Amino acid sequence: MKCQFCEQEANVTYTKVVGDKSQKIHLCNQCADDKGITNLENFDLTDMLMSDDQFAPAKAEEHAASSKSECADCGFTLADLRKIGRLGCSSCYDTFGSEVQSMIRNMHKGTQHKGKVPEGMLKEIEAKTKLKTLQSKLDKAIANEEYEKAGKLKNELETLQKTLPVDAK
Amino acid sequence: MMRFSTLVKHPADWMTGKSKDNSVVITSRIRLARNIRDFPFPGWAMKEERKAILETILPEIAGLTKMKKGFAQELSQLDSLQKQVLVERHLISREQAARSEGCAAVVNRKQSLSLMVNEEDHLRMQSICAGLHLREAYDLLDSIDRDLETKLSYGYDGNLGYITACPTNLGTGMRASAMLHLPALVLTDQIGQVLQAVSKLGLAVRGLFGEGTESLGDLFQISNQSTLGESEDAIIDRLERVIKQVANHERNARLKMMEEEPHELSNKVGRAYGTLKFAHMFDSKEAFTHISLLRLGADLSYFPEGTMQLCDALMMEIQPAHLQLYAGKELEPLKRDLIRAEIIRERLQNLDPPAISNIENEVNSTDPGDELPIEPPID
Repeated sequence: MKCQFCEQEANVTYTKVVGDKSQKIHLCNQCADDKGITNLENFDLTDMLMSDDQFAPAKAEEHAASSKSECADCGFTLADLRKIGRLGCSSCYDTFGSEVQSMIRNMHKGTQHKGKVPEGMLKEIEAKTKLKTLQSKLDKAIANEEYEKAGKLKNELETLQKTLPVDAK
Repeated sequence: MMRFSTLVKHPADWMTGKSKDNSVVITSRIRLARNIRDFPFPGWAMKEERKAILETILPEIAGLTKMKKGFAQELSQLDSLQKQVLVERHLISREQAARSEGCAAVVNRKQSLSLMVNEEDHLRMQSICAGLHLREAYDLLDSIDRDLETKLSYGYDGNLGYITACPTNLGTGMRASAMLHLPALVLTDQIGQVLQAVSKLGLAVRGLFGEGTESLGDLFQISNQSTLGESEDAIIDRLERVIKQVANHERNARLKMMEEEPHELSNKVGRAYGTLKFAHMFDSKEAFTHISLLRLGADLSYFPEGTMQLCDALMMEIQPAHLQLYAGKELEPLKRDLIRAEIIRERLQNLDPPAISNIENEVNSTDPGDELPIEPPID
């Protein structure tokens, strides 16, 4: 039996009986710890099962809060996505990021692409990742009032930005 | 440039029998979905945007060396019958046939590669070959994809992989599938069990024309469902392993029937032959059922070499759009059934009755298994 949340072997089974209905889930030790099953006081099976369910109405509200409701690039809306299950353009994947994440978790083997990378894309992806890290370091430095460090980071950031093609940002 | 009439006059390469290992796995197919950055997906794009997408993609794909002298056509210039013919040949999808403005299809001369513009995604590329050769089909398509990625800026994300209109295709954007002919598993009632096992492994099983279609003629499509979180290689490996097992089950079931119920088997094949050869009306379903048995008989050497290819060609020719193309006009269902039977009789005119000799086997031999009229199929 595999854990319902990751690929590991499950060795915890949690059963909840309400009236004459019972629900069972299987988990590995790690996930059981993470979900707080080993500490049963504030654990609710319904919450856990629902949190992975894209159609759960309560959760959908929450997604709506974290996803914007309309794509700035193409005008596609969250309601459109829920209705047809497809997106409007590439940018929609950023706009409706959390909604999409909850969809693909039930759809695919994993959530991280492991296949082919288009030529020329590798460098760009690396640069983008670095850009993000630099930006967050910069924000932190400014917040901590470490202005000397922030200045250095800003320079680094600007140099990196110049190497990227305009449409890749 | 190849014309529509030339395209339909010729069977696809996979059908002509150059590959002899396709008695169980008829074809292998790979499909890749790609999109151009900065354009809305076809289903959400305005007419003008779809045209702009077409103008961006079409020159690049029609200019590929592998597509030289092929068939390239905007679908708005084909009538609905012609589009349906392309669907029946698996060269375009049903979804694309239903769309209009801004859609195009490019097919190479061998009909082993077909590229669709503005289907569900901006670009859908497909390669098809006979037998179980998913890897070869992928390599062919991959070379085209590598060529195109230097000319078109694909939508791609480090985490989500190739960006597609539907999240079900994210990641590799690859659907790998095989078409299997499983008559013995159907006859021996094992098919349900086998297909259930396949779907438990996270693979999809479908009928002849993919999603939502029922199985005709004991034909089944097995394909991957998940496209994200695994590499192309891993997906193909897993699929090939499973398909090989299913094909082996089918081969064993065929041998077992030959051994244990030779009369029932030859009776079925003989009746199918007789019906096909002399009936005057066939709906699709009935025709497919009999052709399936004829094809099984061909694999068991009841019929001369080339009969299996004849069956494969027939299965295409008796579909509604092909029938109407043959007749040169639109036909109501009743007329179709008449013409369907006419085509079948004509194609089978020179096919001799099955060479079945298991009565002698049983009389002359103490162990009927010794003198099976065929060699067991070699892997």
